[in-house]
Amino acid sequence: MVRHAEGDEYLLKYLSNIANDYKCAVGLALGQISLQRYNIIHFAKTPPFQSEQDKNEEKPLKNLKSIAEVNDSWVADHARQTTRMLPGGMQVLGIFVVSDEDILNPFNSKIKSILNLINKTLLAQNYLYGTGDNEKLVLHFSPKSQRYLAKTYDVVTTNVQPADFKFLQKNNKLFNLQCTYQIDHVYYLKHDEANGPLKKHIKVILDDINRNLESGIIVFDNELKDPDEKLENLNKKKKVPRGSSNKTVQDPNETTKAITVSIFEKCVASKSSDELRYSNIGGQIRIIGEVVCKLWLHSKGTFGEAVQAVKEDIMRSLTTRMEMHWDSLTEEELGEDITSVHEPPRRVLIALPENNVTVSDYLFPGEGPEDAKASLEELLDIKADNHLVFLDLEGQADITQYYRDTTQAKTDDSEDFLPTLRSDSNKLLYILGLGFAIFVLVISIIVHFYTKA
Amino acid sequence: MKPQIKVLNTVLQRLKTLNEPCFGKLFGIFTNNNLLILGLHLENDEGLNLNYSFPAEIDYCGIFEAYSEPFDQQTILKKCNNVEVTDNPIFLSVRLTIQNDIQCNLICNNQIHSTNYTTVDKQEVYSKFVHARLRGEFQLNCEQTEESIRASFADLRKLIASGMMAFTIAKLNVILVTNDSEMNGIIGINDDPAFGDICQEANTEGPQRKTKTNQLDIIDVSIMKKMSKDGEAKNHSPVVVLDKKKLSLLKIPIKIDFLALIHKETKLSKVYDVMLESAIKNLRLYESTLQEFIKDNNIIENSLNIPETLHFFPKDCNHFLTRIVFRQPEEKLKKSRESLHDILVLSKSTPMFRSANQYQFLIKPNGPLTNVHQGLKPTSNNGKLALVKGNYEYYHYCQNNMDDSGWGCAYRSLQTLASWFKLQGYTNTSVPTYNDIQKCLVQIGDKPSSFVGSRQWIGSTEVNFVLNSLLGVTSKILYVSSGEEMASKGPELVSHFETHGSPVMIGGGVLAHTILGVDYNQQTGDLKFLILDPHYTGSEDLNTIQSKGWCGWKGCDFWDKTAYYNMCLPQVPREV
Repeated sequence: MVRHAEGDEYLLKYLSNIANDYKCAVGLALGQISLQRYNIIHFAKTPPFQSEQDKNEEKPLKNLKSIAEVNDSWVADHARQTTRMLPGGMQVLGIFVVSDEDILNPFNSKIKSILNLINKTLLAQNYLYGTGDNEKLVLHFSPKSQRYLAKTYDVVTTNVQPADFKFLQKNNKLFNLQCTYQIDHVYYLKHDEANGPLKKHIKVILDDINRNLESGIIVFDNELKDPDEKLENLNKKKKVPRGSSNKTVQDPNETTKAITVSIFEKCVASKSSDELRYSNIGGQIRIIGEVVCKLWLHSKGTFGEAVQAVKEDIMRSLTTRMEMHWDSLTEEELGEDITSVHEPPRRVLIALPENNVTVSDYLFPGEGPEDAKASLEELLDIKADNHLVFLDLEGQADITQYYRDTTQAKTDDSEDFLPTLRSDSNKLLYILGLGFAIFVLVISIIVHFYTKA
Repeated sequence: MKPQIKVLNTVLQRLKTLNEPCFGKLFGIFTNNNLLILGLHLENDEGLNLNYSFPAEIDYCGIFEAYSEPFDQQTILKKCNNVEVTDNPIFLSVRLTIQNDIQCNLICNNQIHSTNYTTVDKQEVYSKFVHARLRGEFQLNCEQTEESIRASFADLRKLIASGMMAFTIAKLNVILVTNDSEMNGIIGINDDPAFGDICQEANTEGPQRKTKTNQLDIIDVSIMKKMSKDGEAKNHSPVVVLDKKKLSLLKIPIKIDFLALIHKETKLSKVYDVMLESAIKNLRLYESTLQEFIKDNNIIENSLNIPETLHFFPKDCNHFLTRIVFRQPEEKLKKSRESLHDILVLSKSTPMFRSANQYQFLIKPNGPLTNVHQGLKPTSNNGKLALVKGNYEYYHYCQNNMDDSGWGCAYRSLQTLASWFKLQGYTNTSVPTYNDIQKCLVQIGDKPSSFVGSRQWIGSTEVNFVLNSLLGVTSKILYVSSGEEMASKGPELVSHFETHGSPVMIGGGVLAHTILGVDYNQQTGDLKFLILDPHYTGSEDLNTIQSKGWCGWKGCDFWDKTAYYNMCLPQVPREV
């Protein structure tokens, strides 16, 4: 079966621009698969590789001369980092190669090894959902002839198949879905676990969150949808519901309105739910906050795919920020105080200039749009001087409230009643003082009138 | 406007049995301008509180007082003051001196006004209502103080009432959410139908709609939590709060399982609030049970099994009553059951609140029929009718694809007897299989080991042995030397059915049968037997069973004059 792939015309222009500047280049094809069809949203050239040593010696960047020079793990790492930025439902679909070498006939073994390593890298990471289809797309663009050819390579069966790639003037419309997922998850540590690696516990928590999410029911614009139903039916089928006048009459702007996603989850008791018991805990880990999701799905996609994409987006985003946070820690921060609040980076969304699709970046406290632009430039090859739409929807936590919270949680001990007592006496003092002041005022007025009289 | 007052007949029947001055609470449900009184409970010193045991929507709505001396108006008014659900509480007065004459009164502006009421029966009530059974789980974690437990329950109730909860009705493909968001709080259906209508639809969609049985309309609802947020209000991205304080924590898994009574005309959009009430009532019941239990038991050292939630629908109440029961010594359980019988004004002669008495929500599709004598034409004997009390299952030849024709009749009769003990709640043991029966007889030394798996028949003596060793039931054996003599057994059988009410197995020289009752005319001495015949080999078809006489009234000529008979009369303990 010949697989079909589609992309907007500007993507072709992007390739020919690369061809003007480079003799040979490799990059990632990003997008989603819907109805077996590859929909390419973006191409991102892999930045030139430089070894640590070269970097230290400040050698100039070397451009690739042939495909054989490509550093596989560099590309794979590019794929991993880029996947973190993609909204749920989008993946690294494959690679593009700009080169005059004939790499598809016969199918170059270097391409195979790059794709295999990308797949392996993405598979290794839980909840990244980086590997969609086993068949990876390869698009070859020849600078000389300005022609292109596509094939697919199956990383499992190693089969190579021809693919039909089309650049279209106006590619298919994407539907935008929006959701804010709230998390407030408490995990109790066993009494001997308090000093164990926090990372390990977070993993368990992520598993829990994922399990709950898997059991969840996902609703679109307050409607329950059949998994096989197409997204494009959402607006069409909406009959005028009672009470809401002519609001739902089709107008062109209406369709660009984001679909609101609601998530309902089963409430579950803990695993050993047949016993009621005391246990000594060594502490607790609480994850609290919200994940803001914006997803983009092909109009021919189904609600079943949308459900999957929403779940992927939440888990991908959560794992990514947790990982970035642990990676940023210089030492295990468990040894210290009784309470500590960890603040993983927050998600910001940046709209790709060519279409409205937003990709994510994660900003640590203190970082701003400039930092997001830098990673956009590096990983997605988007020039920072472009005017970028930057959405900071999640917001930073005022972490002091959680320090306070945890001390409050301890107020069951009698000594902790002191502060409340003190504040009460403060109030009393205040009232007394005020009363005294009024008293003095009244006296002085009386005295004043008295003396006047 | 004065509400129309209807009272369920079981309430009146129980009030009629009062013979000492007392007072208690009435429980009822309001619909439109009707108040339907469905339940009662006596106030006594035992301090048992059933406020949270009635299904949601059935509220404390008034009081009753049984008196011989004229009652004091002020006391009545004062007692009615704590009725919260209405400004016009009901007061039923029961005058002990005139055969428990019951008068209905309405409190209006602190005055007692006499008013009328009508009596309704179970059929009439439940044809207008649907039960919703809400289920879900929660996890509570708190410290080991009474205060901390109370606070955690209060927090959980607050959370549930906060609007974060959603209720899914899987059968209807509907999610109910809190009403203050846009729409009417219904996801899955565009308008707002009456609850009864959509439940009806859902139930008729099944492969075959059972011909109207005694089964109530019950629809399952489950609790979900809304995890996504509407609106723009920005909170903050996830943070990880690590608190290393060591604590001793009581982990309380809570299984919500509660019923609500919903009028069929109730709009679907109103069901959300009823479900909230169900969940909260369930939590209150759980909390009070737990606090009570902790007071009496040290649970710090021992972990406990989570309590069981049991739903009962005793036929002398005809409303649901939910209990949450911790595993305790039988003695204690029995005591609490006894006080339950007391405050519900129920006879203590048969168990009603053992775990085996639980309401059966699932009807086994291919199980044996129950109570097949119901609907038979009465005899023209004009005598005293004494029948089996309660429910039994009809066991007969060839059930479970087993060819026992010709030898299994006594086994089947035994199974019918055992089913009666199980259905009445006397035992949790399931009805014994052929293998169970044969093994049991070998174990007690009555039969050689080759008996297991054989096709040897058994008689009344063996039935007696098996009932005794498997169910702990003792039986009385009645012997007659010929079928003719059966005619003289009227008084004994009447007495058996009146005091014990269990089915009787009869066997002996020839075939085995089950006697379900007698009609004994003392004047003429004529005696008729209600016979359940285990020799029926057909399918579970009530029509055939009744019309062909597999269950029916027989005269004394039914018995073989040349054969002797043994009857096994299982004796029933009078306990709860």
